[in-house]
Amino acid sequence: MRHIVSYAARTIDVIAAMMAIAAIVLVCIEAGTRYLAPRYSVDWGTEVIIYLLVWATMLMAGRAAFENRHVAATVVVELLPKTVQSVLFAFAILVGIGFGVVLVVFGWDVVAFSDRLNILSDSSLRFPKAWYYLILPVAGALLAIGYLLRLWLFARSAEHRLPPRHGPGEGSEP
Amino acid sequence: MNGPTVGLLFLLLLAVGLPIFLVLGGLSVVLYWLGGTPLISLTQLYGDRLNSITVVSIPLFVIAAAFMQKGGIAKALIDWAQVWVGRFHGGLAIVCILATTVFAAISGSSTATAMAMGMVLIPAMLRQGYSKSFAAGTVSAAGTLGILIPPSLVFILYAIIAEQSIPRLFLAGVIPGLLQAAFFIAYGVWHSRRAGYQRAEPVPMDEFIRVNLRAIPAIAIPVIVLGGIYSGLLTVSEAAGFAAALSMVVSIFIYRECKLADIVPTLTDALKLTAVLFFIMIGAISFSHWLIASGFSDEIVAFFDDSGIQTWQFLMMVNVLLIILGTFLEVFGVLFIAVPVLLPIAMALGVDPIHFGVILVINMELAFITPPVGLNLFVMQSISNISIAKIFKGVLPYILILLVLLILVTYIPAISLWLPNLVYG
Repeated sequence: MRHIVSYAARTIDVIAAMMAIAAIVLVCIEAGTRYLAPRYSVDWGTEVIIYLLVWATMLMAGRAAFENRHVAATVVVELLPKTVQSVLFAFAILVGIGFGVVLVVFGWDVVAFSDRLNILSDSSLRFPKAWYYLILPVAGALLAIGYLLRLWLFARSAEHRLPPRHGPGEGSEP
Repeated sequence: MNGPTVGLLFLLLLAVGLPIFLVLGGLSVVLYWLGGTPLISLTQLYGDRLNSITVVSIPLFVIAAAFMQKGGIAKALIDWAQVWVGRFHGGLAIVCILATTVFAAISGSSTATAMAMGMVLIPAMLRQGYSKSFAAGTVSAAGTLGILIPPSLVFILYAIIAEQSIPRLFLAGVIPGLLQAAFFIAYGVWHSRRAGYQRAEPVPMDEFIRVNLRAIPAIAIPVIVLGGIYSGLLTVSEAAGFAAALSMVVSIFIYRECKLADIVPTLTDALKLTAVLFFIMIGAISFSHWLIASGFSDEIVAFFDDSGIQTWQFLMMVNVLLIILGTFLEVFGVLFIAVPVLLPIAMALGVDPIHFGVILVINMELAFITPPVGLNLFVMQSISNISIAKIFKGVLPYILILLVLLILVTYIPAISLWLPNLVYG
């Protein structure tokens, strides 16, 4: 189980990183060709950059949830007894799973709606918007899976019943 | 559900440690559902608001900051400032503020700036006999320039929520940022003279030239990024893309402190941080939609209108509220919670939204260095092993300076608005 999760997480990391690199290269090509070789300039660059970066970022939803990277006001909670902290942590995990499920269900509705109406992008690429919107249920599923894995750890051992701490600079604030 | 009940529930969920994106997003789901609005409109809103070229400048700037933090750019800038001003009284304090100002003009991030600078500067300052509290306090405080000097991630996020122009906001941060740097330098020099810290020896000419040449790629990045935006050659997102590409290339191929094998982990770290921001952002956007659609936003604005409160009194209340919020919530939490509620009132009272953005950012700077959740203090502690109490003692004078700057910026709007009005009319 651990190996499968780890392999899946690494695969997602590499896919997201490649998407980000492709977007950065495309930004430079788009701006460069506009001034240096306008005849090679394309009208779909901006659109593809958005798709790549939104997908790359939202693919990290599961990891951010599992590693408990999301910003929370913990000042009051840290004053409470460990047992109460543990209950509140479980509550946060369950709400996270619930939010992920909402994103999957209603995100899929957005995809289906867009697909049914065959909504295409405005550029010459005529890209089906449903493919872009697919990131909503995918991110929701990854978020729910990230929190489910955290819940599994929570249920398995006492050492995982409090939120994991991160060193400054590797936390949730740029 | 009426406004006060929502407010109470909101505070309760925050207090029990629920992640902010779940407080904002989860409450929006419940409120939309109770109000009979189909939940597909909520997810459609998420997809549409992320589908924006402005939004994608966020991951690009975060990627730039991540590579800069790892890749030798900080060291090159510090060496460069050192050969220029190191021989003066308080030389390293001036070096810290100057190098941080230039670094901030590339990274747009406070903790990345404080961490990158602190790792090189704190050991150097301690070697030259600076006290631990002054060294760590100066670097922590100087790191806050990262969100005021353009480009700034906080300004970009504010622009998205408040629907304001990013280049205008960036320009509005320039004069307050330079004022802050000047105040910090003045205090650093004064303190160093009083404490009798030793000065560095002037460097030989060949060393001076070598260090300046080595710093050219690092200094070229903000010149290209900001020059590109204000010459009209690049959009903000293109400038962010160039910042990311240049930081990557400079860190890996010129300064060589970041290896090829570090590319994927550095990118995924940056994307993880961006994912956290995106989730809070979509939560905040859906919550502010509910505030407007339910009429609650109008009720608050009408309350302040009817109360006869003056603009200056409101701005003072805003500052007090943001300082209190900033001591308990992390910076982006404050930003996403406060803007949807406070900005409509500020605008109704005649406050320019660009001016309001600068006031907000200076409050956020204070939040970065105010206990118990001042992140820069913890960054300094983790990289220097200096106690939080000592760091806070060193940062306290800078907090007072920032408070003076906050009052000046709040009550003299021209400090923020003169430059953007001059450029854009």
